[in-house]
Amino acid sequence: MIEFKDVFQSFGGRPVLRGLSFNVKDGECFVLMGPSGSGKSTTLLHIVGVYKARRGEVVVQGVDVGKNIDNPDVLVGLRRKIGLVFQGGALVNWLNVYDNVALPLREALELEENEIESRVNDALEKVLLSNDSEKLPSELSGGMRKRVALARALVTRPPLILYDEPTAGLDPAMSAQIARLIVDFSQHGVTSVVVTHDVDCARRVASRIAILSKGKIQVEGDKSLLDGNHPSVLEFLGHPA
Amino acid sequence: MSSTAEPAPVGALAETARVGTSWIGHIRRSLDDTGHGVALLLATIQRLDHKLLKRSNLRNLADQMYAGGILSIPIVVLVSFFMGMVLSLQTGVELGKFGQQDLIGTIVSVAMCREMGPLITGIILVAAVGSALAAELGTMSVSDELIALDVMTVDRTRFLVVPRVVAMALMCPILTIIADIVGIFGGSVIATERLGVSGPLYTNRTIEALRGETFLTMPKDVFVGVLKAFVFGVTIAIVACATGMRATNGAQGVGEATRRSVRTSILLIVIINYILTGMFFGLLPE
Repeated sequence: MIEFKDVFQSFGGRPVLRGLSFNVKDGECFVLMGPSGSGKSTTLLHIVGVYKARRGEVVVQGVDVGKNIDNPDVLVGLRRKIGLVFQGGALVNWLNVYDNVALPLREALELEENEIESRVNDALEKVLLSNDSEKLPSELSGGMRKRVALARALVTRPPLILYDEPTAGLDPAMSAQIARLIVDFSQHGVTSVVVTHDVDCARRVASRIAILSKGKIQVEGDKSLLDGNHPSVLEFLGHPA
Repeated sequence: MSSTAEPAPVGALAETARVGTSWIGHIRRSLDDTGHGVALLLATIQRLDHKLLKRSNLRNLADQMYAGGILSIPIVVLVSFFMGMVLSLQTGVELGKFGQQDLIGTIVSVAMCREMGPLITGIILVAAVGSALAAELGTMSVSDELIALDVMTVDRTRFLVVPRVVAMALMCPILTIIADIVGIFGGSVIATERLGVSGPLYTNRTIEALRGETFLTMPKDVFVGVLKAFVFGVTIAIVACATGMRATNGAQGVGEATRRSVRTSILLIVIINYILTGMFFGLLPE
């Protein structure tokens, strides 16, 4: 589904990714963890073709993203198979919850209004926001905004959803709720890539975990990785080696 | 004593050089914004099609017309009323020296319709609406909302720029006509109350002045003003969208984008105003 092969990226002369390689298989929930500024969000933006790797290859669903980044037809085709949940939600603040979720269906897929209504209501039900569809983003809590963003990523029924810090800034109960939703989507066959600092969230959702540090994957494995004593894990968790 | 006096010329020179460099920087950035604006204008024109008539797009357009136009009516009315009064007072006092106060209606109406109406409206809209548009889109840019639109494959030009440009292109001429009428009325208040011109005479002079040459069935002076307003409206919206959507670097970047939008829009408006005036009133060199 996703393959990073020796990817290098830098911004303003500052290297961010230095030979990043990993792959994500269909149906997996792959969790990418690492310290702030290690390039986790940048990695997600390479998957959707916002950034082009300076060196190396990013292949998503058989499409070489770097080679097709200037080919709008291929890029649009690829992006329509991906949902991305931004850290802050990235909701359009003059549209209410319903219209935010309906946005990609109206503006990108141009579906009929009755189909839109059915899909939006279904997505809002999944994220438990059916009764808040008329609210504006400014009237929502942080957790509700994330759930709207989740519903918006989900509504186009993509086979791949990327989550950028889905539980950042949320209380434990809300974090657990978001994690349950991610697990639920994964169990329905959606491939997930979750970028997070949140160890509890990672433990709840991951089928595989990788630690990104110094621009590359230092170690990867299943959930038990977080209980091991690999130096990168210990360093990330703040425990002296 | 001499040691404290000597550095001054060097400091002044450095300050002059700094100001000069800063001015060159402003001009370069304004040209850069104009270039991006032209590209965005072409992209916007390509997207003026039947999709604008979709219910959600019409609602978006109506919201923009309300925010950009209807809410600006009070300030346009107030400013143009006082502008009309000032115009009437200034010209009336001078004309009175030659016993020509009768011409106040002619001068105020022509000046308002050709120049002051569209220019006042344009500058008010730059300050009140263009800056808000640039800040709004700048905030979207720095908070990942534009990237989110791209990733959702929502055409950001169609979704964000087209309704704003169409709304401003429609509302700026309407506001200008309001400014013309209110300005002429403001002029009549001073002419009749302070300068001894009778109401019917002022009205007759106004009608005569505007009745002259016509262009596309409209009095030429009114037509030129409305055309200018249309171009100003498009310019303000395009520049605001182009600068806003390129904002980076958080709140500071949004502030800078807003400043650049206002600066570039005002500069373009005065230049376009001269060119259009020249085209219609033969002021351009042969």
